[in-house]
Amino acid sequence: MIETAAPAVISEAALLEALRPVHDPELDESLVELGFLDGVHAEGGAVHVRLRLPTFWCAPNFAYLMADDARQRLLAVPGVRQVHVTLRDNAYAEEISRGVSAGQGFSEVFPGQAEGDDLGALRRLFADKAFGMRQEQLVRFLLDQAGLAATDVVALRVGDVLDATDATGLRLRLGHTERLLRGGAPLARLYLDRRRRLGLPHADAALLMTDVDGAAIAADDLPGYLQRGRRQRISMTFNRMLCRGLLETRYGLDGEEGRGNREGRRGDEGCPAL
Amino acid sequence: MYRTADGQDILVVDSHIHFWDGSPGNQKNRYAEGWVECFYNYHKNLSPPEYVWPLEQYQRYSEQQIMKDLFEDGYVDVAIFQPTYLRDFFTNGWNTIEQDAVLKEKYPDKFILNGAWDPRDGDAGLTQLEEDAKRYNLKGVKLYTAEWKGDSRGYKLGAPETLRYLDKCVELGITNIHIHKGPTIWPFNRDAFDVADVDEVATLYRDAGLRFIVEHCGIPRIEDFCWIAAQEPNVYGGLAVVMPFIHASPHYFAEVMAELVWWLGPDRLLFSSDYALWSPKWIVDKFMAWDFPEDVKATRGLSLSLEDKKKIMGLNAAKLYDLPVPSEAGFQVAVPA
Repeated sequence: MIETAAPAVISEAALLEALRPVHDPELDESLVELGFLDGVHAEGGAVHVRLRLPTFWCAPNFAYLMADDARQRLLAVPGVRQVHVTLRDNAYAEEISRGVSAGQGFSEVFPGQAEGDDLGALRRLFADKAFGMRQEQLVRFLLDQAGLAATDVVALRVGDVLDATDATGLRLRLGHTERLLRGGAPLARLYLDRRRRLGLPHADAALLMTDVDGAAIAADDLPGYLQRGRRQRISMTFNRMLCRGLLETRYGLDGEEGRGNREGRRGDEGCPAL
Repeated sequence: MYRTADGQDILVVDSHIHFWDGSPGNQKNRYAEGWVECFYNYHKNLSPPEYVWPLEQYQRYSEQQIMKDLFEDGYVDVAIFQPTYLRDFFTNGWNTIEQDAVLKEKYPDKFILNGAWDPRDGDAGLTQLEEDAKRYNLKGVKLYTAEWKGDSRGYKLGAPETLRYLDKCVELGITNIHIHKGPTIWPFNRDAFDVADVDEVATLYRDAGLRFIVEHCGIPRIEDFCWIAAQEPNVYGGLAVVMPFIHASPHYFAEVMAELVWWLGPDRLLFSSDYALWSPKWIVDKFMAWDFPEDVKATRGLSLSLEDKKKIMGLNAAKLYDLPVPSEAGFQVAVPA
């Protein structure tokens, strides 16, 4: 007997993978890692995704960006035809859930409230900040831990990153030699990704360390230049910790009463290169 | 007054406190409920467990409680009320000048009473400001640029209607402009959140003598705040919300303090508990015992001496508000009895 082909079942794992690249732009971290994903499941070709945020007052514009990114990513999963997004417990929960699920833009849902062309400028501003943070982390690593000189760092080309996927370390070409820098690969991957997101040139001959607009940095200017990235890193990592803590408290994710309040509970988490 | 192990007295001015009414009877709508829930989670998340209150107590606390927590247990000599109205959420307001005035009138030496205004109140608000200034002898105001008012979701400091109010402050001798830049309400659009408007008015009113104290140091935009504050000598950082991290995350606290001290120096930072969000007792104890970790000292070349801590704990605020500094809490070392 021949059965009619059942619709392909969309696995939760596939949905989760699709959502992993969705970032909170203010924190430059995946909403899956942050615990903002409250649940996702498919019913036939319709996917239901529930999001939650650290506070009732979390910004509607950032929430919208995340919810809309989640929808777009899920729509790209084979078999998905519809995405229903539900944002819980936010001052604007209803408007955001309804608007994003219907594929509307932020300014359609909140007329007169967004400035400029929807949320594009906001996204770009935070992509710049994320770039600054990730670049500072990588450059600090190259200077302080790998012992490179400032002149070496600013002269690096994209093609000098020989391998950033190796678990043993970052393989980097320095002049005519090749070095394996332990602990550097994750930082290099993050930096390359954020750089790509800004649309900076990725040909092998392109300079690896430029400012956010692609301009070269002089070795003498590097310490002053890095101050900006350091401020961005400290601010973003601090916000990340604040948001994680509030989410834990809000949804009781910190286990037994009082456990979340222990001293120094959030030491170095999320801050790989200091 | 806080006394160090070797007998030095430290003046403690808590530059940001509240006497709010978040009780269910005062809550107008779900936004009020969301406001209280959010505040309570900040309190619960960042306080040591023994300082966490039940929600009911947190919604509305008594006069005895505030007097004990600040002045008996918390080392505070003078505390500054920073009113926040939120009349769209709370029937009688969240923390109004009238509410705070009850305690100010009863304990005139313990409290400084600041006012509050909102440029969206137009001419009527200006008249009210004049009356408040006269009645309460105001030296400072607290502004909440993200406050909801009718359909409006906030205002900007550089807007012409705001400048009228700042002009009025100059005229009335209200020189300390505390601006809430930080949690809880995330403003609607990017610009209402930005600290750039502080930059604009700080430049504009520098010669007129206005000082702009950015509450919460612009969290979550500390990076932009530091940049602005470094350039504007009349911009200060209010450490409310930053300080409690000394318990939960000493490492991040050290990093943020390093940035603040690096860009602003110890002369433009003000201790605040944001009571009743947090109780000053444990923050003061921990901060007085705190120092930059060795790696920060080495890589950033930073240090924080006892003299610097004295400034942050009280002397900076004393300067802004012309408070008398008892000679034993000044810069000279006290002789133990």
